[in-house]
Amino acid sequence: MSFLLPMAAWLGLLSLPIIGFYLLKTRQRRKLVSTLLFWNQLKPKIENSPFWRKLRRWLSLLLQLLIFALILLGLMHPAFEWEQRAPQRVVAILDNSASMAASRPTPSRWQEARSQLDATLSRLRLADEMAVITAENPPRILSGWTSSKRELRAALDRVELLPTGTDPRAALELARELTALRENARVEIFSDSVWPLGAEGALQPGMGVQGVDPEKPTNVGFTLFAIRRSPAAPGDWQLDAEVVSPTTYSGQLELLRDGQTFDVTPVECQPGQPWRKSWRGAAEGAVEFTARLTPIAGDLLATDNQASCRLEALAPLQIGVVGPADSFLSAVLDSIPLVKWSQLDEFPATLPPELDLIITTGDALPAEKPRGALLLINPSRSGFWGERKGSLKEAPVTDVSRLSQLTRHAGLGQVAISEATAWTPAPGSEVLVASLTDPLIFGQWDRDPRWLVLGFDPAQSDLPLRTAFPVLMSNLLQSVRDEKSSDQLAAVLPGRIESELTPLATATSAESHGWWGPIFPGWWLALALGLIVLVAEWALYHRRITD
Amino acid sequence: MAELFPADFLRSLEGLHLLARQISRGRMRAERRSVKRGSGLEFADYRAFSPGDDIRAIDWNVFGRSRHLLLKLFEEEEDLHVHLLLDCTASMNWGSPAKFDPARQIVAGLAYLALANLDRASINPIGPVSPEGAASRPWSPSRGRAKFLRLLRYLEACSVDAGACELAPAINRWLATRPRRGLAIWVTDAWGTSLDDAFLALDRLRYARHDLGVVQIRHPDERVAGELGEFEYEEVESGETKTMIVDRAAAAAYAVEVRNYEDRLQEYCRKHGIAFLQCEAGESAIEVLQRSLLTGGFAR
Repeated sequence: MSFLLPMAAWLGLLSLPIIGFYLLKTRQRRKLVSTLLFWNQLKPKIENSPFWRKLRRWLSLLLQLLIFALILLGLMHPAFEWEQRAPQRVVAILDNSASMAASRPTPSRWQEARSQLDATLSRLRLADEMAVITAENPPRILSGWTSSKRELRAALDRVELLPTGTDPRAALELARELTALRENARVEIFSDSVWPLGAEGALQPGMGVQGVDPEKPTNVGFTLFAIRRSPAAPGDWQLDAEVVSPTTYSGQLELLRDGQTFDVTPVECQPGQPWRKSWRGAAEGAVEFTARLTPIAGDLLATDNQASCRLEALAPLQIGVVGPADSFLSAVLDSIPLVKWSQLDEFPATLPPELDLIITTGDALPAEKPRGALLLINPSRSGFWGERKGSLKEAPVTDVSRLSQLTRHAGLGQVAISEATAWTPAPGSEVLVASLTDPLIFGQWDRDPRWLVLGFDPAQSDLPLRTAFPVLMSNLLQSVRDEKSSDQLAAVLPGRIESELTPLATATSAESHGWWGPIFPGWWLALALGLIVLVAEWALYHRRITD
Repeated sequence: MAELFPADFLRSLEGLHLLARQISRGRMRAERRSVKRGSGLEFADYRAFSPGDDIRAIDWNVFGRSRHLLLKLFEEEEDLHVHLLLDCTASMNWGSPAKFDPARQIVAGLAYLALANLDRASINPIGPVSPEGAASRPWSPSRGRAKFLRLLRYLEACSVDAGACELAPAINRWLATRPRRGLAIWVTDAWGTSLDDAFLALDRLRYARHDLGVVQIRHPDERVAGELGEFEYEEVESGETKTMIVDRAAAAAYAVEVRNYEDRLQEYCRKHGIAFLQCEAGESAIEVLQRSLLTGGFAR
């Protein structure tokens, strides 16, 4: 131990007046009385033990000098061994992935990680600094470099467990960059190291991982529980479930539809071999599915034992048709379920937000790309969709894109076109149907804003007479519908890695300072000791007077 | 003298004398007659004549009727001796105000009442043996108000005597002077060298067949322990010391001891027919004297 302010030792001379005043104060006061007649009748017990009385006096003086010495010690700023070392900088990576909720049974890994982090935090000295980031991707900086324990604790209180897994590689990289900014900095990871394969490779020498559970995990959980509408039939749905377990699992799955039991099926699961099952059905309205697994003994993670997802009700597509009425088009739109269309006199200057698709024919053309989906049937002039070059006579369909969802099952290769328009499509557009080198159907349907050009007049072909026309329109509308109702169909689950709970890293022990308790500055300890001795002296003084 | 016996004090004494006369007329008549038969005016009894008797006392009327020589006996009136015993131990000079000053004023008042009543008053300092001390010389029995001024000068010259004093031997020393039997009034704080010292002294006075009265002068600071803490107590008379640690319990025990002693003194006086009066050092001497008259036993 050394002293940061040794000059304060000169204040030790103040002990001399303390001793002097004490001797003056404890000198027996003499009191003249008229008679000792009555005092002689009293026998206080202290009178019988003058030795103890004297001893207590000296003890009292000793305690007072000790109090003074401790105060002096505090003023001299003593620095203990752990305070003399260079300031420590720690970047703490806190894993808040779903697997940290695993518990056997309490406390959970998350609580243990928090406790270990709190312990590390309490060992920080005045000059030490800490930064805390989460192991998310991208990582979240909870607190930058700071020495304020209060600030760090407040930052830790704000962080919550995620429902999914995380990839710590970005956080490890960020921590490495943060440590490069400070001297004597190190990284401590508070995680169960249930990470994606290969993430442990991002660990560098000196990065300690705390909180790894060395025991073999026991768990069963959903890794997939998702529902989607059929692209062919708007009301049809398909529900998929996948279950994994790091150990052999034999149980059952109970599936509820809107709270009512829908199915109960046995589940057999081997390590590394997920169990999968799909259910199909039809429903135009909203429907909610919940699945529960029979838990096994010692199941660590409860959050993946149940999953639920909701299929929203189908909303009718709102379509606006601009241009002269087309009986074939009207018939097709009327025949497709869950479609509401209306005839517009002219192309609207601002597209109504309720419209999902605008179909325009002939001369009613937009000046620029509208916000929503747009189908242009034989546009009469050039525009953002492409350049009109002339006309084609007897254009056979030679090429049909097999990858596009729009042309699937349509059978467009059989369509006979007597007259078509020759087009040079806009750059970036995709040709779905072509006649030799001339595009017949082209557009940009894979990204917003979506538009598609039917480069010929259907009346100049046999397309309206073929099933290809309603199939093409149905595919087109279904793609619009898919785009509209593709959100929140899958249950939010921890994921396969999290549910298998397989740690990738080995645990390292926390750095020890040789002292298990919180580390306080030397002056603080001296002051606390002084306070304790002061209480002892007060008790002694009190007894000396009142005994 | 003006300090100890101011003019208004002396004026108040005359009023006390009148009060004493009123009281004695009402209840104390003939209490002071001598048992001796003599030449007084009051007829007392008859007895048969014997040779050598004064023939002037023969009741000739009885002789004329019955031919018996009977001698008329008359009561003989005599002076009352009032012995005022003044405690001159050092403890009487303790505290503020000291007890010795009011003690001298009370003695002066009682002496005045005696002198005004044509009794013989004497003042006897009770204290340690001190041949050189003026207080050791008593004021011999005197009669008449004319002596009062000199008596006051004597009292003013009185002082306390340093040194330890046992009360019983001090009383014995006074009794050894064979004072005439009479009324002995002891003005004292009654602090002896032991708990029985004062009672032994009173026993001596009783055995000498004096009528007794005790005026105990107390100081309020004597009845409580005072400040708590560790003290070395020194007795003012003997210089003896005692180290005490006084806490609340010790202070309470001290107060109980004092109260028990005073109760015992009061009970002793009641039991033996001794007039007893307690007063405080700060109390007016005139008021104490008035109370002594009302209590009875201190003036006749």
